[in-house]
Amino acid sequence: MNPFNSLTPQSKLLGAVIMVVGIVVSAPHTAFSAGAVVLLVSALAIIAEARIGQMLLRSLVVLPVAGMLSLFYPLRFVAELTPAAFVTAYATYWQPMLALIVTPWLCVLVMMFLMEICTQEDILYAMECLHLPHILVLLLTFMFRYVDVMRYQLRASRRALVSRAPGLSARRQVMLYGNLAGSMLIRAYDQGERIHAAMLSRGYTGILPRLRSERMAVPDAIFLVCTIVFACGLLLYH
Amino acid sequence: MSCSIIYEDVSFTYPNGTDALHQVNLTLRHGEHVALLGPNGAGKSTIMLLSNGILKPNQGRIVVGDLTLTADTLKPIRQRVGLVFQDPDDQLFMTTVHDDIAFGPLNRGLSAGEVEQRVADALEAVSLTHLSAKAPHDLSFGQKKRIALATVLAMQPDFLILDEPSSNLDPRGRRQMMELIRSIPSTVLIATHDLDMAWELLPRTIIIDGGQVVADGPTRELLADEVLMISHGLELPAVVKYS
Repeated sequence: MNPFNSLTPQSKLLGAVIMVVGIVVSAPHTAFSAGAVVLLVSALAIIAEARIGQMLLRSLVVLPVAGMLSLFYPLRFVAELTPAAFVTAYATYWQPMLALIVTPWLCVLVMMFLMEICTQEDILYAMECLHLPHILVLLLTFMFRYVDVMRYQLRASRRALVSRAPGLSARRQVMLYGNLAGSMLIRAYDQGERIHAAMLSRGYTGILPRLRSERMAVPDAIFLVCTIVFACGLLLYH
Repeated sequence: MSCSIIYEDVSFTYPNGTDALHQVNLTLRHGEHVALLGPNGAGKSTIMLLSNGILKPNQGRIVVGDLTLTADTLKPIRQRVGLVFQDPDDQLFMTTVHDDIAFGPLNRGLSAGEVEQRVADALEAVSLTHLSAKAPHDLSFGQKKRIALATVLAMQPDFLILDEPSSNLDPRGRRQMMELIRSIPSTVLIATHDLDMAWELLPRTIIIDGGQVVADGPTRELLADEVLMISHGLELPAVVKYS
């Protein structure tokens, strides 16, 4: 039996946030503390019957951005533009560079675990229960709903572009994709207007009504205490 | 509840200056199934949006049942007039089919039990009960169209307005949609270019062109009038053309 099924979405979300805060505050991580986080999340994933491989793979999505930030980090300490100064800066600051990659990766890994044990609707519901700003929940609801519509429209526009302009130069392609992004924005705005009209016609008054009602119970409290203990453990180790 | 809808000298101009409707007079009686025909840009969508109070007439008045459309009557009018948009992706904005159908009834402040019952009834009416937990983007276009209709049926409107319900549907989907519309007891206004559907389903037709009503009468009479149809950017339905 998967014990995570007995938890409410709000405690799952809160638990993940506590873990993320623990990871961020206790940075930079040693191999031991980072390994402990990975082991814990993996163990939880096994208990929750989550897809560990997919979780790990998806968590890598943060690497390009984190890697780039990490790569630029030592440059602020380069006093003069000589090869020796660059080498010294990178050799001196490799640990913070590593931390800039490891910390966000661990946070994303925790969030990927959350996505494995929660549906999109669960997360939106949890956000409402935790009294996050309504506009944020509304925006995320629409993002979840319309990301596929946007993807479909982008693909259709790209096909239309490619079918009428094969063999374009890279420069021209960049310009056309810029135009495409502009037209997508206008289309999204237009569709937003129509969706708003559809919402109004069904009595929308500014609040997204929901049917669910789940209260936190003893298992939620136990789970939250465990995540707090883990986060405190990371801090104490730090 | 009886629900007629009356447009009295209704004119509407969009903020960009487009003159969409000019002194339109119409009466749709309770229980009627009516086709609204006309070329693109004739003013069909404007009439539909005005009926629900999404647009406000610049001139004239709209009466739904015993309520005149004003800012104060907007809420009860929107409860009585259900609008189904042409593109179901405009209509289905929640993350699951169930939540989308529940959206309207919840906005009316119904109890959880009542909302669940309405969701179940609406899904049954469109024969898609098994898709309740699905995300709208996982559905086929035909299924989305039917679910879009279910979202409005769940509100149990007295007056139902559908924009191009059969567009982009395959023959089977179109047939299912037609059967569904036939079974709706409310007053129904359908804006469509599907003349064969109008011929088969809708006893009364209103033709609008250039923002004005140019013809209003029995469907089979108007749709068989080749001169009238051609002169307003329409054509004879296949059932007439090839008979």
